[in-house]
Amino acid sequence: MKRRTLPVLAAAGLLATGLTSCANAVGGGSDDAAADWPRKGKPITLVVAFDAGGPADAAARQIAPVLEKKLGTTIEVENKTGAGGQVGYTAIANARPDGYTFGGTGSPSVVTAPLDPSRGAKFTRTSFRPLANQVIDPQVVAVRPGSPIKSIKDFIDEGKKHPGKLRVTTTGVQTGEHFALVDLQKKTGAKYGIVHFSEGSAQAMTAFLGKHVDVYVGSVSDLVSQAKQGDLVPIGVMDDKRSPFLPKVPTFKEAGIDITHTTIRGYSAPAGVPDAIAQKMEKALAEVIQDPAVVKKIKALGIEPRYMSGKDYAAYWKNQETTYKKLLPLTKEK
Amino acid sequence: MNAPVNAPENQAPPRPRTPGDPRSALVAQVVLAALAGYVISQSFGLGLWQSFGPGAGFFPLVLGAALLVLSVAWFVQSRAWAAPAGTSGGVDRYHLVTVVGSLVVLGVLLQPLGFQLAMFCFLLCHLKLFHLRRGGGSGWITALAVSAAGSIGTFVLFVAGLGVQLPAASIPFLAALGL
Amino acid sequence: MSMMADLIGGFATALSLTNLMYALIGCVVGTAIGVLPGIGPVAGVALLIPLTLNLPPTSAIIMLAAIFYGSQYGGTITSVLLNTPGEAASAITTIDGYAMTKKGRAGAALTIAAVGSFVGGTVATIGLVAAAKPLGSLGLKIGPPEFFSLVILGLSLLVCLAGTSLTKALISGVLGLMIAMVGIDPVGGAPRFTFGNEFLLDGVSFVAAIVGLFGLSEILNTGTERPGRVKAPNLRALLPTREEWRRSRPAIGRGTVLGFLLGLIPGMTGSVSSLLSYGAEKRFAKHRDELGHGAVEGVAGPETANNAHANAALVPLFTLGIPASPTIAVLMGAFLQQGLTPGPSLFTDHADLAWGIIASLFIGNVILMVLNVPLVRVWTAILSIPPVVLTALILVFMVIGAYTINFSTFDLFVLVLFGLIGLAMRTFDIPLAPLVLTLVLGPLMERSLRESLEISQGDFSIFATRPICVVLLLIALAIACTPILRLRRRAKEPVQGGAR
Repeated sequence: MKRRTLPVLAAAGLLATGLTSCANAVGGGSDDAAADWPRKGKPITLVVAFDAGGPADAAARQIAPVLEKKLGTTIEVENKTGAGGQVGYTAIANARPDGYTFGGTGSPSVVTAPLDPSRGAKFTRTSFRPLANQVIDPQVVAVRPGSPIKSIKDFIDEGKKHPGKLRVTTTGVQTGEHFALVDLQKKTGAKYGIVHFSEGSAQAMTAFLGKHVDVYVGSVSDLVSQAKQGDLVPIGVMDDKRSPFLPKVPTFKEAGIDITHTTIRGYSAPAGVPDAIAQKMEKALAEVIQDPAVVKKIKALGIEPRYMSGKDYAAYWKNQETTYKKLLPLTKEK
Repeated sequence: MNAPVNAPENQAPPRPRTPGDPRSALVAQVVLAALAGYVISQSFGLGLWQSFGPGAGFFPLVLGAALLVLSVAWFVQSRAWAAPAGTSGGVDRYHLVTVVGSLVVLGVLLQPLGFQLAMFCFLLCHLKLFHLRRGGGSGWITALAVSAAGSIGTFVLFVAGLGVQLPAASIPFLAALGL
Repeated sequence: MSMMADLIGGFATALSLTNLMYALIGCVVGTAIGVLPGIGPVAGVALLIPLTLNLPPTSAIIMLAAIFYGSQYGGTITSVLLNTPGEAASAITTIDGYAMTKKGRAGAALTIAAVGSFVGGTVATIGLVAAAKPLGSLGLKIGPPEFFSLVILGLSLLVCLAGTSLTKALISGVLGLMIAMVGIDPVGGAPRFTFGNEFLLDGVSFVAAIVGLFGLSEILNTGTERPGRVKAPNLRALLPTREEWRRSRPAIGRGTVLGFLLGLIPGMTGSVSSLLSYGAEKRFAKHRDELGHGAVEGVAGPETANNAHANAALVPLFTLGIPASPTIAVLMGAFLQQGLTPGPSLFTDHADLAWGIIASLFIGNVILMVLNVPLVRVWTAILSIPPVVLTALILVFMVIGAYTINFSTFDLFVLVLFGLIGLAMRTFDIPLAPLVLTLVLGPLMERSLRESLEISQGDFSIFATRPICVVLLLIALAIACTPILRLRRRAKEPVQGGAR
């Protein structure tokens, strides 16, 4: 008899261990989980949807060590790249909402992906719970020094007088620049010859500096170096206020055109994360993002830090989605 | 060391390659032609021409047509060659199945079992299991040592040392064990 | 001239003991990154940037730059010894490099690769120093139409890779182009041939494809016995013979010129340089018929071109602040984080730093060669691992390399699929090189065509009205026609009994 009880006890023990570890893994939702989040020794995964070394990755890797200290547990940065961010975003949206996975979400990529059915995105805006926004990078229009276009007004007039003649750059179909230009064309009646450089801003910049296209449209961070060296002249910024890197450049709003197009990058958790945990995350991120050392490093990259709380970020995101939804059919006509 | 039984090409000196058994070449030609047909059929739906130039479907159409023509050309040319007497040794089928099969199984099991366990089994199979009948594998000690180094060792190297995340087990029981 | 004085001053900075040490560490780390799967040069440099932030700017950049071109050589080592390209640019080296290994000439291949890389890199750096600004402007002249013409020229070299059967080479090329079509098309931005799979939206993973095509197919093809297993090579076997040196010289020369010129053009990746160098060798090398079976030119040319390219690609960064490739973009990020703006202002605002970096490029190339030539013996010792174990370890390598592309098992299946495709191609004697050529050039072609037509608003005459385009396209035509001339000449000869 004794011989049989031992294996039975062992099996029961194993079963119990297995069940409790299952229970722990499922967890979430209860107040206990929120109270002891984050558990020391249980790492939190920070998913970055873009390549190592890029601006999204750099920003994430800069807050990770600071966040680690604040939360008292390790943060593991994981790059899940592909499809313009779609792969990473899918990973975030489908992760278990227990507070141990969150990721960087950037627009326009996270906003436009679900709007286009052919992309087969497995998430929507409501699959995410925005936690905080870190940076903002507005669209800017620039010309070469010596160009006859000296202001936003000149740019618009030229587009109206000679529709389609000015060659302007974007970094691809349905990118931020594309939406910005399509919106501008709709609001002013100007028309431009849009050239898509799907390989990226470096290609667009090369073609622009090589005089193969006339006007460069891109993010502020793309051209800060060149602007400093006088290789190009920015004429207008599409944001609510002027860029701290280009203080002399007026906004389109100042010129009388109500248009705002920005790239923003922040962090979100999968929807369904318990409120208590989400609030803790938001608080930690708020401190980390606004940490002066982190801010300084972000600024060095030419990107403007702009913290937004989870609520504000969610509102901005919703706003962007409404705008892009309206503009999407315009980006498809060719 | 035991030489594998059916691998005559390993003893023969390197010789000029024969074009391959005409019958299997025919299979390849048919496959290529079918692929070409598929691509052509899809290309129309993608849009052949856009306002400024070739649409998304233009090059697929051209390429599909080219492939079709080329597979026919290959067919014609291979019939012109005399069927080689004694075809080339052919691929070691057992080896092919074991390598491809094990890689596919590894791919499927990588996420559930985690890198360490899955890779350990994979290596053990390659170093020992697949050679049990034919000989030529490693001894048990070498096999176990190399399997351990190649699975757990590399996992530690990459995850802890380099910060590159290899999959950890997703079955909770195994995850609790640290895999 | 003051530039010489600046350069000498730069050497003084770069030759300081600490900076030399950083350069050395960079080369070692870079080589290790190139050898290890799972970390390409981009990720490697990116992951190490945080470590360098605590260093003074000069030292940081020196180390990162050393890592950058150190990793190129690391990729060569695995290509030659294990038939597994470590990264995209070393793909073409596998063909003749591994064939040389099978003939017992692995040491020679690695040595020549190291020397060729040194020559290519040094000449490119001299070019950078001597004529950066005019070269930068030259690079700018290549707009989308010229880029397209250049790519067409590259594609025309496909016929040179033909070997015995033009039909089979064309099949290979067409397959490569078809594979390149998978993904989001540059025209409408809509997915094409992706079967609804998210991981294919970026196209087929290039590294998974070529590792499968070359490495895995070889493993499947030869079975568990590795022919030509090298047994503890003695020193003489490690060094190239006089004959091999002699034959490498023109290849190195051609590779340097080609790599350097292509490196000046943002958007042309290193793999384009090595591919076109291989094509050029096939066209111009004296012993071109041996290419594919272990001709030393097949290693010397591409490796030199690769390194010349990598060093020349710094020209757009220093003259215009434009990163020519993703790796350089990461390097540029490092500059920015150190508070430096890459571009001509670097030479006026931070002259000693800029020249220190340039000097360290020279030194880095020297270190790379000095480091790796003696290590050839160590690397080739890998070959004396029992074949069963070696094959198993290579498989681990491949699996990690494939998985870490997108951190997904999908690419592992891509690897297996291409292994099977490669095996089929080997069985039917369909050459692999054309597929790689078109796979790399295909996307570049479609993108630049689209951009050109958007610039011209649909007018195809843009290609006929720009002088550089016309010249390039005519050369392409000339190259493409050579086999037709050869065929006609052959048809006129009396047919030799039975053999074709």
